[in-house]
Amino acid sequence: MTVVDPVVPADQPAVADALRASRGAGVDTAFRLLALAAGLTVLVILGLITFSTTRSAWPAFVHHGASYFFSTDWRPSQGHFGILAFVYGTAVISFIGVLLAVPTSIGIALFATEVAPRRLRRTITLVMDLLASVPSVVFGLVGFYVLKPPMQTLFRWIGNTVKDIPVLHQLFGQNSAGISLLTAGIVLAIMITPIVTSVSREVFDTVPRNDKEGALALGATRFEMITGVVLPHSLGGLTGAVMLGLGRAMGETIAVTLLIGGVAPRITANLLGPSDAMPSAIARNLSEASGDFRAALIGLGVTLFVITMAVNVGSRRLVDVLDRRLKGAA
Amino acid sequence: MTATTVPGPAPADPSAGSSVSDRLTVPSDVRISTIKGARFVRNRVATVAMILAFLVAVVPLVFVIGNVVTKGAPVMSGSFLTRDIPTTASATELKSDCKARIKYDPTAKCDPKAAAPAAPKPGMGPAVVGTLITTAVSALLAIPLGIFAAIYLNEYGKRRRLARFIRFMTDVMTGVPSIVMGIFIYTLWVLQFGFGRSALAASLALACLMLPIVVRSSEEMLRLVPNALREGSAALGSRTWKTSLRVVLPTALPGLVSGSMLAVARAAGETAPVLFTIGAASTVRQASTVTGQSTTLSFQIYNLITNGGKLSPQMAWGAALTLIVLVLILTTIARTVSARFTMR
Repeated sequence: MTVVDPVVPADQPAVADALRASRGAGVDTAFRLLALAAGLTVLVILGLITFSTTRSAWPAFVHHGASYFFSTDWRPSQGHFGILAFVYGTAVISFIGVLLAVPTSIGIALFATEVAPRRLRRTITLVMDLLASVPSVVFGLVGFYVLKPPMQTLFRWIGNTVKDIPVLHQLFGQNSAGISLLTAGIVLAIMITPIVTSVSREVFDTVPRNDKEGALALGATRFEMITGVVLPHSLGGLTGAVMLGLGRAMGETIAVTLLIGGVAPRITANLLGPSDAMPSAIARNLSEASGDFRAALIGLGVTLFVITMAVNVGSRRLVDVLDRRLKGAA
Repeated sequence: MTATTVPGPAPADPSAGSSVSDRLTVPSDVRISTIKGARFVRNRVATVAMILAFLVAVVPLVFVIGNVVTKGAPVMSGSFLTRDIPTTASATELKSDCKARIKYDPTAKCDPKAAAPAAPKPGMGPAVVGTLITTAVSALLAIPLGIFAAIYLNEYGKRRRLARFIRFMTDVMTGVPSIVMGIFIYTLWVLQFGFGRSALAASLALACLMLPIVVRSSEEMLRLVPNALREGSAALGSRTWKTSLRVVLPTALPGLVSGSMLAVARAAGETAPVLFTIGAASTVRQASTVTGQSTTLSFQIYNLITNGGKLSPQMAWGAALTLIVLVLILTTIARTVSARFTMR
């Protein structure tokens, strides 16, 4: 092979292009600024979200002060706005959602990374992608028209069965209408399973192959390999996945709105009774609200925003820290 | 989601390991064999539990899609997709009008029972048009912006402090509830600026939702472009902007398309950001607008369930089937394009 002549004739199109480009330093600056501006848009939007929503909610925060956050008295017609029961409703359904979704998701992720043959792995990804792509309102629709009647029968049966058992009869009250905290929680579990599964899979994929093979070589069964190597190694990442799912669950709106019942919420242990959550109260009322009521609803949105931000920042931090540690180890 | 499932190094194939241990025959009089039995059972139970977990996730998917298809299909037709939405008012109006006529003129040839059901026929035309318009406008807003932001992050910012901060905040923004985006545009655009509700306002809310998804997936795709290409272009004297536009973007194009399509699919199905921002429309003519009020399929489904009338369930199922098909088309495009991309 001959040495390439370093002097390339300038009449070759690519080189001519390149020479013209080298003269266009101003273009590069302009392009860089444009790209930077696009990047900064994200920050601007987040800033505007915080500013604009807080500004609209300000009257509610100022007028009602601490009682806005710590009172459970929500009677818009009388001018009583206490959001605590909504926060409670959101907390309960998200907790149920996470409680049901996490073991399932971890099971699926382990199945996909450690057990399933290659071909089936693609099917699992497909199923999860499909589940993730079903719009929230469709879950709400199916829940409302198809699941509500059998749920009502089932919940009433549960309520009647446990009515004399001390703790259970407080958790599962009688005469359920089928739409309740538990119904909303179950649907949330289905909706957050794909995201928790996909993050868990990524976490499990970072477990060093040597460690896993080492465990197997020492005679561990696959289950022992999972509990002894994969899970301890993934604990931090899984916590991140769980919190990500929690953030999603808290913000889910439409399916919950249709399935939680939508009555003025009380802080109650009864999972089979209708209640309400932060996002669904907003969805149901904001369109027609005005004045104080509107400010109070937007305040509910601000509270939701702050809580989900906190959960998300926490989960990202956790995943980041873990990432760095893993890269350090490798 | 597919953006995150780029095939990495294959994990150890565990089935090989277990089949080897299965084939090992341990003499039955050795004590260890009974321990192995218990461990073996535990292993089997765990495996079955994992398979069950997967089936538990398949059941709701099949249930939801099965219900939507079987209940939506009978309503589905070309005219359902193009006809105006029958207003509940028009049906009752017709009935009461007929009653009024009989009241004053008992000989009037008008049967209230016969007239009422004949009038409204299910239609979702405005919602189909509105969904397509709002989704397209939000894509036009969010995709170029998102790709430019990704170019900043991957080609200019890299590991600088500002870029790292933007990357972090983008991740955080992905987790902002969709209803908060709706409230945001409602307070800023509708209340503060006084522009009123419109398809454009809804598109803005959807664009806010899409932006972080597009930025992150695009950045992942730009990162996959080999550095040798950038260096080659730089060696020929191109500046970063030219390298980005002529070399990096074309190479990453399929990945960018696929990531953007997934974001578009997500936006097309969203209801919460649209609720307070889009207003209302019941005819195709009204909905054929960007700056005026409109409606979407998801909004209509929600509306039909909460303010149910006689026709509501079948129309809601029809709309749901339309929406799912639309979302699936977008997702399939994304998956096909990304499959081509990873194969190369």
